[in-house]
Amino acid sequence: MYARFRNSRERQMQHSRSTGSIIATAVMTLTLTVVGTASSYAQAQRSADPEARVRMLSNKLSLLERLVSKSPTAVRARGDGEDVAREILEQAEEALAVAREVFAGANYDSAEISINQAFQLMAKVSRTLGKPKTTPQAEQYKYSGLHERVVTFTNALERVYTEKGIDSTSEQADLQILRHGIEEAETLAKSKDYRDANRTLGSMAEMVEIALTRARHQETLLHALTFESPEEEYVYEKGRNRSYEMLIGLLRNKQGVDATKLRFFSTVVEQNDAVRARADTLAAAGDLPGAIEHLERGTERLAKALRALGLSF
Amino acid sequence: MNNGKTTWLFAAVLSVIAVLAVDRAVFAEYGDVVINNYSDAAEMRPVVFPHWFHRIRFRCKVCHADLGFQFKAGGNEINMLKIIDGEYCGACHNGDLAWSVENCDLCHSAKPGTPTQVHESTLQKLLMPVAAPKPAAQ
Amino acid sequence: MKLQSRVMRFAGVGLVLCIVGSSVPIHDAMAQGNDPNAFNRLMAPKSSRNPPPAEDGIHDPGSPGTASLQPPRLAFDALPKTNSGNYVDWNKSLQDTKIAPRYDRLDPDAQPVIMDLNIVREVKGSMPNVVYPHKQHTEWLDCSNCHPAIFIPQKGANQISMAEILLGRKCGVCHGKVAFPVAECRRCHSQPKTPAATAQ
Repeated sequence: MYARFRNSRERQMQHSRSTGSIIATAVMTLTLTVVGTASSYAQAQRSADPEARVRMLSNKLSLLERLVSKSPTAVRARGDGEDVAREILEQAEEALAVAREVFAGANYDSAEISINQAFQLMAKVSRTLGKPKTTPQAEQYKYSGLHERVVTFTNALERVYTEKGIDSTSEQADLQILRHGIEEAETLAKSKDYRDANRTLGSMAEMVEIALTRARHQETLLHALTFESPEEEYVYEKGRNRSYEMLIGLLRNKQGVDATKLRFFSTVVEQNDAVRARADTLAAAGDLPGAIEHLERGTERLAKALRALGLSF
Repeated sequence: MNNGKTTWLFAAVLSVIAVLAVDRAVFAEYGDVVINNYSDAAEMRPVVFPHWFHRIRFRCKVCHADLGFQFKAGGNEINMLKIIDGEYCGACHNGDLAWSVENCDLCHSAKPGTPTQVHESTLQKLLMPVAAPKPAAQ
Repeated sequence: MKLQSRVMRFAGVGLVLCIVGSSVPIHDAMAQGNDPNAFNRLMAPKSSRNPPPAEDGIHDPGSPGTASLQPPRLAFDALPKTNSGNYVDWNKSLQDTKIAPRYDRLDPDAQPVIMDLNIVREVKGSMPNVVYPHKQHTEWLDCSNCHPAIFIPQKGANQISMAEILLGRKCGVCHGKVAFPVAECRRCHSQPKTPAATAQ
């Protein structure tokens, strides 16, 4: 803009240049104003909804009432021997009382402060009390999961040792400890002492997990698609076909809105039913390899149909 | 300002207007879980739990093994009393590890009526009605 | 004259860009319609990735909390990227120590017990075999998260198909919900079959 002009043509261009830049600046300003107003409007809407704020404060107040009077934390804090917690709870009750008063007097700013204070005090009460004791039902539920896991892992560990031909004393001793631990836990569980059973099982779980990690460190296991019999493979194929069929069914129920799509769905399902029927006939007649191949092709067609319906996999 | 730069600036500005002006379908953050078991009834906005934010700070095991969260949106019996008691969300959101429960709006920030869902999950996208323009809450 | 041609040029460029710019977001709607040339629905255009909470479709822009929430892009800027899910490579982020999530709620120094075991699952057809790496999973998860409820730790005991994964079972319990979705085949189907096997 301030460069020297070499000739009159440049001078002319310079003149239009400045006009052009004025237009650009004007448009830019307009855009920024529009965008700016949009966001500041949103902001204004957010903060300038006093009714929403009062509703929120009223919700918080009623929640606080419940927390201070009926929550497990409050009940525990009022129990025996919890002096520190009870003191803090009393502070929370005071803050709640102030909040109630101030809210009734429509002084919402102070109400908010007292309400937040009360919440923080309640959280402090709970932190002071520490974790609550678990219920017997929770311990029983935990036991069933833990027990299944430890047994499954111990069996897996045994399989690993057998597969590798490890029968040294230390590994076998590990297995013994695990089996013994499981038995002990089962006995405790029978007498409904799930808490101790879980404690035992917990340490067994840690042990077996570390043993498995060590036993299988940096290995690669191949789960080849080898079947022990054609019957097994046939069952596997049927299961695979069924899983795709379920997907089509799900999509049909939720997506099939227009007539073309519905017809396509029905055709696909019918075709697949025919495939399964034919495969069953072949299998019944003893031609398992034929049945398996038929099913495989049917599943492939199903997968193609699913992709045509918009599923990408 | 010179010739080329001004044109580009103008072009950029107009593209911005165009993109902003068109009402477009948006993809929310993947893995956000909307929990609306009791929120609608309590006249609170449903809860949005952002996995990404928590994943940066904790490994999956901490919540899903240690704190007992099930792998199911809406499948955990969470309520405010349990949270104050230090269970579920309250194990960290107690003013100690993370902010405390008086900040209702930080969690209860979903659009009212949003159903419980794992937002943007494959299953949700699969089951979207064909003609809907927006992939958000159906 | 010069000014007129300048304005015309601006208007022309602007018009073209308006059309181009507005077509980008609309393709999302078309992709879900009956458009035979619809793009892969799993791929969001870059402009609509990781939107801030106020624009993400589930957060209520009218809630005071929404404005206080951290926009994901702020956090994701420093992290390695991928093409699906959150558009962040979480495993790489962990490896490169760009993030340091705790393994224990209270102890910041607790280390995970990592199991380094690969399971190679042979698949029917010509797709490469699936390699399941325990290492990357046990960095985040506990054994109890998957075993035995979702996967039985025994060869041949788990029947997995793509349909099951899409339905949200087996691998689909996490992948497709909170872990990366099944958009990139090679991330799992990573071991090419030997020529002899494919020839069958």
